[in-house]
Amino acid sequence: MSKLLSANFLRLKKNKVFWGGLILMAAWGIFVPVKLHMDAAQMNYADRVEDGFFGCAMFMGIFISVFCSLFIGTEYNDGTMRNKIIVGGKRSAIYLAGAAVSCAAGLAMCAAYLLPYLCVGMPLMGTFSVPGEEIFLTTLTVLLLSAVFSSVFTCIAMVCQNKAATAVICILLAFGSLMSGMILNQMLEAPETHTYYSLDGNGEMISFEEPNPKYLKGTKREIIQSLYDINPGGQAIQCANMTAVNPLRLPLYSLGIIVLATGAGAVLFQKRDLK
Amino acid sequence: MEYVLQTNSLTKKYKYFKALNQLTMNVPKGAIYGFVGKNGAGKTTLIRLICGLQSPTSGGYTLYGRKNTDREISKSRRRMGAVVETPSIYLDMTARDNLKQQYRILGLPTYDGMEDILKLVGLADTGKKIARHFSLGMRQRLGIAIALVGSPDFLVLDEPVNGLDPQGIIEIRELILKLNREQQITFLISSHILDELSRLATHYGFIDRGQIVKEISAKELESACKKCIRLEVTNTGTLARVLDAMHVEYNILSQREADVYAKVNVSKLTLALAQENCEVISMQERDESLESYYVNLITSGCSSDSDNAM
Repeated sequence: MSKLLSANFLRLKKNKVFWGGLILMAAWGIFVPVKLHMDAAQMNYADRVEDGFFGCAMFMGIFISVFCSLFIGTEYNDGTMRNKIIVGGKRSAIYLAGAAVSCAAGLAMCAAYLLPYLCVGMPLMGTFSVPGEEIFLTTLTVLLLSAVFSSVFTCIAMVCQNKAATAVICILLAFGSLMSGMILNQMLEAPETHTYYSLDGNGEMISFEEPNPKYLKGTKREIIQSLYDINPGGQAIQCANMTAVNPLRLPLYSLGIIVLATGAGAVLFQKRDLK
Repeated sequence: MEYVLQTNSLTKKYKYFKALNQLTMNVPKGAIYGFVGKNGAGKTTLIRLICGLQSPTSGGYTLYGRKNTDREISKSRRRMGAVVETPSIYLDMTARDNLKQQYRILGLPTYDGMEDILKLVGLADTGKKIARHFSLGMRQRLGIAIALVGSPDFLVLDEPVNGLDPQGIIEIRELILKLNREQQITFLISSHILDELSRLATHYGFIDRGQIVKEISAKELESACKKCIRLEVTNTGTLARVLDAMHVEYNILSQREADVYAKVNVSKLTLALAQENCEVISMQERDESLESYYVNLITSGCSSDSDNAM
């Protein structure tokens, strides 16, 4: 597998989509803290460096979907997947090498955002105002999230032999995951009560609270919360806003998805008839 | 005889379609094995199976004596290279970068020999040109160059001259002959361009509807295809004496049949035979090219199938 990893990393080094992604993420990592600081100065409120630090989580999935589908899809499109198999490369090794490089690329894109953000953000906005453990845990979750996206999109790209179809499926899945996360977030964020206003007999305005029928509680809330935590898009939103309800569960769910996606992908790829 | 590849009742089914049907063939070491069949006969399917791209439905094959189900089959695969259908090249990379990829895949510690391979296939001067801007012939040659990395001794080429111009065809042919002659590389070349194969192959395997119809060496094929007159006479012993006197090449097939490989004066021959009390029963001119041999082979296969069906 080391030979295949070496070949994949050599190709990654020359990949324009990868370098384009890195540059975009780095540019965004510089732009966001500057914008936040300027907005805070204009609106006269205290800015915090952690406000946008994990913003990369929101769009990381889309970048990785584009990268994985093109990087691995090229192997099928150009037929070079065959070269590895013809000379005796084992299917499992080929799959894992592809997954490893996709993960590495995803992590690199994360780092390309986080590091410039820190370099620019800390001099402008000072140090983190939240505990270091929370920052560490959220950073770990974001990095694992990038691995989740990489493993899921690698699975799709390795099983689907059509580069264009892979790209469409991966990008739609990335957007779909994010949007479903937003929907689940909205459901969970629904307030417990609504405030209603009316006039009493004396013509005075009175307000009263009424329970919100859309407020989730009990088992229903737990289920929706679990779905929100498992969904990579949901995790991305929680990390970006630092509003994770179960911060310790998120990395565990991520690990579970990585193992499942990689295992399923490897099994499917093993059985695939290649053309 | 040592065989590089042997298949044993190899079968491949795609849902309800049988692409290979109990195919058995043998590729001798050092041969240029021409694999002949029409479109859809199963040539590419067989190549995909032996390259490990797909698994057989039943049957098996051995590569350098190792079974396809053997755990160590990858060791045999390292001795082979292949160009299956279209060349497998990264279109966004130069020729050198493509070869470097293959060096890495094979785990070769250095890029030694890369320039020699590029020179051998005529791509040493491509510089920074990426493969996307190569002509079809150049891409084919790059595909072969990639297959040559790691010094394989068995090359599988699936229709290597498809889409090439006459100059390109000649270049590929000369490359194949050179590699076979100088490096003793065994070739399995699938093609339906019989004329081209006839200039290359030392052995032939004719495939039709997923089965090998016939395997034959080039020498045997040459004998079968030679221009001759097939004579049916009452006594081939007498015929032999007469033909010897005329200094004519011939081959006695049986007590009544012989092939004569020369243009003979029919009147003189029949008169000479009549003087020896030998009658000429029939005389047929036979002029088989590889093409007509192949067509006759497939046609007789088809008619025996329809006879069996009846």
